[in-house]
This record gives sequence, structure tokens and C-alpha cells, in this order.
Amino acid sequence: MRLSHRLACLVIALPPLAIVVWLFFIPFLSSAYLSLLREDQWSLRNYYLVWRLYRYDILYTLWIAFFSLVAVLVIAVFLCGYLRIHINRPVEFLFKIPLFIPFVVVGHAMRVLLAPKGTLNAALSQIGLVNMNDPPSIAFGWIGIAVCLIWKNLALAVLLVLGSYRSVDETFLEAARNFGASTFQQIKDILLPMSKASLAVAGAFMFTSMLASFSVPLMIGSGEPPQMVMIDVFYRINYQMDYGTANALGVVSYLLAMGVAGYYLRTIQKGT
Amino acid sequence: MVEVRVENVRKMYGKVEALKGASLNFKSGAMTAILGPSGCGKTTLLRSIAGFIQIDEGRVLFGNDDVTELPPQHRGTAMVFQNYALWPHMTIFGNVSYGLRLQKVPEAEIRRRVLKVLELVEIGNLSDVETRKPAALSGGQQQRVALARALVVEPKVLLMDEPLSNLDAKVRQRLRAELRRLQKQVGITAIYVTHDQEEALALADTVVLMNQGQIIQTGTPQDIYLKPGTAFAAEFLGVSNQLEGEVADGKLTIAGQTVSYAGPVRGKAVVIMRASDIQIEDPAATPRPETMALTGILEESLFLGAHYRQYIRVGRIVVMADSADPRPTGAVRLVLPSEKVQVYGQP
Repeated sequence: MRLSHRLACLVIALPPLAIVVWLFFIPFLSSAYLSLLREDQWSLRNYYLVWRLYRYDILYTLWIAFFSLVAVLVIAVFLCGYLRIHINRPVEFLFKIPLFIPFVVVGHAMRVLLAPKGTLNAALSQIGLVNMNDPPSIAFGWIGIAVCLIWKNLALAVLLVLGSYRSVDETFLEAARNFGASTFQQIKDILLPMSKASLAVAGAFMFTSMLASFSVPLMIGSGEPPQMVMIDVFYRINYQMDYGTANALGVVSYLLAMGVAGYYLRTIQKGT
Repeated sequence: MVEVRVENVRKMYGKVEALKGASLNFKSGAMTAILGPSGCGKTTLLRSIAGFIQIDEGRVLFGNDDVTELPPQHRGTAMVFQNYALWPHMTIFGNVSYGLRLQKVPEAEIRRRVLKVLELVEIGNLSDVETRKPAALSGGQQQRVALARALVVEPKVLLMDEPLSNLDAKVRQRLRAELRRLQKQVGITAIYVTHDQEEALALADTVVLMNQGQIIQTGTPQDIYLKPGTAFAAEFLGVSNQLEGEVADGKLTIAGQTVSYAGPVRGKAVVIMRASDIQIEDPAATPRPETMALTGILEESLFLGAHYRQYIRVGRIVVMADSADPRPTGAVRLVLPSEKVQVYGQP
């Protein structure tokens, strides 16, 4: 490679590299370093506190992220399969709308919809399904958070999964249809297996983003334990000024996300 | 075995009329090739028969059954695609057995039929078909698997959309002969779409020539080649020269040269001469009876392997002629039997 080409490659690679180093590696190393300090002494006490106070929150976070991810992927796989086979642009657009809505707005909208005195219960009470004197509360619990994350992430999932399905040549589907494969069989037997790698990548992206959810659980959650990890980090810093434990929680979150990132890298390496 | 009939089939893509009222009978148990240039509507016709395309007008009949409104899976056809369309995540066995699994055929029967059809298409070693995936096969082998996948469900009609066009010339020629053998052996009604005239002539019992959404001519390969009904048919089949001419008083004038003409055409005409029919002679040689002769300047002679192609300037146009030997450049006479000169009136 000529020197000018090498320089050009370096110039192109430098900005994203600088961003990754500045916004990811340095904060990560700094977090890891600070999480091992307690009152200016090397200590694992921060991690002990994470274990003692937040182990259920970590499981709670993983559960919500995992549940939401599975739900999003199951819906996206079949919804996109249907939209791939029976093209319907207006419906496709409807599912992509949440892409353009910020998380805070999603949180607020779901509060209005899913709160005990919210519009969903009010509508259901009109047909006698809900008693407004003792209304169920979907909003203030893990199901409310999951509903928000599913709705918001479904748009991204539709974008990625439908894109991947569209790259499957029509003749593969026609060959199956020719033998009598139903829409469900075309999705299950052809589209899904041929898009596995893209689905894995989409799943990795969404799982990491769900782990880091903050505004939705802040607005929707119950306000009582268990909480999602990012809420814990927020309280630990703002109300207890305990940066050590907050950093330890951060490192644990990094490690969870890195596990998924490793899976992502393995998948794209297999694909190349 | 079933006869396929299409009656006055029309299909529009936006404002473009891809099929302009095509009507045709595909003989039961025979191989019919639909031949034509790109965009002539041949694939649209095939896909209309398969049911992948909803036609705007007309009917498609299998025997006495009107299948026009039926979805592809209820028509009893099987399609072999140009790109093979083998599912890459399934093994060879998985690909071939898929149709039978959808039909809920018992496992032992699936196994027996799949292995039998793979043997029929001569896939080679059958021991690893349950572990090997299509990507591990050559293009020719993949097309055999695609053919096996189509045949295993015992369709009423076998549809093939340029199945050999992605293969190299040698494999294509070998598979062509095997396709013909298989079709005769199974005795299935087969419709084969191609833009390769040689392939159509070699494979088919009947050739259907299409252009611009219309059926131009139907006949045996010999009829189509030797007695083309239109200037398009004559020009499309064989390596042909198309020249403009004019007929008046029993004389045909081409590029300023006049020859005698006794045919029915009058006025402006299109003259088609196949390169393989033209002989090149010395301009001083004695003219032969029952031939048409033009003089020209041989400009170039290219070696094409089996023969030489000569490029001869006649007036403002260049005529191609094939011969076994190269010839030196300079003045020549182009001679071809009168019956090989095809003259068509211009509309």
C-alpha cells in the first residue's frame, strides 16, 4: 500500500477510533480503577456492596432485557416475515414510527396509557373488563418497563430484520411456495434460518441498549426495589455521592454488555 | 402428463404490456422451449403458468382444469430457477425432501424417493447427501439437485427458467443432453425458457419464439430454423445479416447491387442472410445458377475456433460470413443459394 493510501486510511480511521478511546476505553478504565478504591485504599468493598445490595437488581435488569429481547425478536421475526411475503408499506411504516420518538416521550406516553387511571384501563372499564375503583397497574412494574422497551425497540428490530429478510432472494421463497409452504413455513424454514446472523446482530444491539435503559425505568418503574441497574447508578451518585459503588455497578454492566459484544463479533466474523 | 393451454393471456407492468394476449398449447409429455430476447415476455409467461404472477386477462388451463385463479402450490407445477434457488442452510437431502415433507409423506417413503431421484439426476456419491450443503457443490451439481428437488414431488408440469444460463459452456452442453434424456425418461410435460437459440433447438420438441410480449412463431426446431416466418425470426435464429433492400420489376436491390428475385415481396424489403449459408468466392469465378451473388471487400477474418468469421463490406454495411479457412483481404464475391435468401416485406 502506498504511503498516501496509508495516511488516508489513518485519517479516516482516526475520528471513530478517538471517539471509542475517549468515550469508551478511558471511562471504562477509569471506572474499573475507581471501583477498586474505597476511601483512597485498594479494596473490593465496592463489589461486596454491589453483591449485597444490588445482586437482585442485576438479575432484575437481565430478566427485563432478556424478556423484552425475546418478545421483540419473536414479534419482529413473524411480523417482518409477513411484511416481507405480503408487502404492505403503510403497515411497515407504522411499525417504524417509534424510531423517531425519544425514550422520554415513550415513557410518558406509556404512563398515560398504562397507569391505574390511564387510558387503557379507562377504555377497558367502558366494556366492563376493568373496575376503576381497583384498577390494575401495568405501568408501575417490570411489565410496564418491558412493554415500553418492546414497543420502542420493535421499530429498530423491524428495520434490521426486514432489511435482512429483503436480502433473501425472492426465488428462495418462490421455490418453497411452489411446494406448498404457508407464510408461517416460509418464515420458519427459509427466512429465519437464512437471516440468523443478522438476527443475532440485531439482538446483540438491542440487548445492550436495554441493559442501559434509564429514562423508561425511571418514569415507568415502581420506584421501589428491585430497580434496573442504571437507576441504581443514578441514585448511588446523586443521593449517596458513592462513586465507588456506582463505578462497580458500571463495571458489572460493562461486563454484561461485553459478553454480548463478544457474541456479536464472533457472529460477524463467522459471516465474513 | 397434462397438456397446458394459455388463452389470450395479458399482463401489464404499470404501462408496459409484458404479455399481449398470448395463446398457446403446450403438448402433453413434450418439452417446449420458449425462446426470445431479453424482455420479450417469456419469463412472464412461464411465471403466469406457475402462478407466481396474477395475469390481468385470459386463462391458464392444465388439461380441462382452469388454474388461472389457483395459487402456485395448488397447480401441481415444479419450477427450476436460473439461480437454482437451493436453500443454503439445508443439506442436499433437506433441499430435495422439502416438498415431500410439506406433503407429509412418511419418512421411509421420503428417503426412498429422494435417493431414487438423486440417482436419476446422477448426482454422484449418495453417501454424504445428508451432510453436504449446496455451497459444497459445483454449479452443474447444484442444478442437478435443483432438478431433483423439482422432480421428486412428481409434478404435472415441470417449469424451467433459463436453468443452464449460469453454467459454463461445457457443463451447459452436457446438462442439456441430460435434461433431454431425463424429460423423455420421466415423460413429463416440460416448459423451458431460454434466450439461447442453440439450447432451444437442441432441447425442445416444440419451440415457441416470442418478441415484445407476443408469440411470433411456433413449430418444431427444424421448422423454426429452416422456415422462419418473419424477419425477426430469421434474424434471431442463427448468426444473421440483416440488410435493407427494395424489390421492383423482378429485381432485388441491396446496397446498390441488383440481383434477380422471383419471390412475392414488393417494394421496401428486409433481406436476411445467415453467415453460415454464405460462401466466399473469387470475384472472377464463373457465376453459378440458382444463387444470389454480391460483391464486396473482405476487411477482416477472425478465428473463432471451429471456423473463421469474415467481415465483408458491401456498400455501407458489413456482412458476416463463416468459412472453414481464412481468406486474404480484398475483393470477394458473396454467394448463397437463392432458397437461403430470406426476403420479407417492410410494414
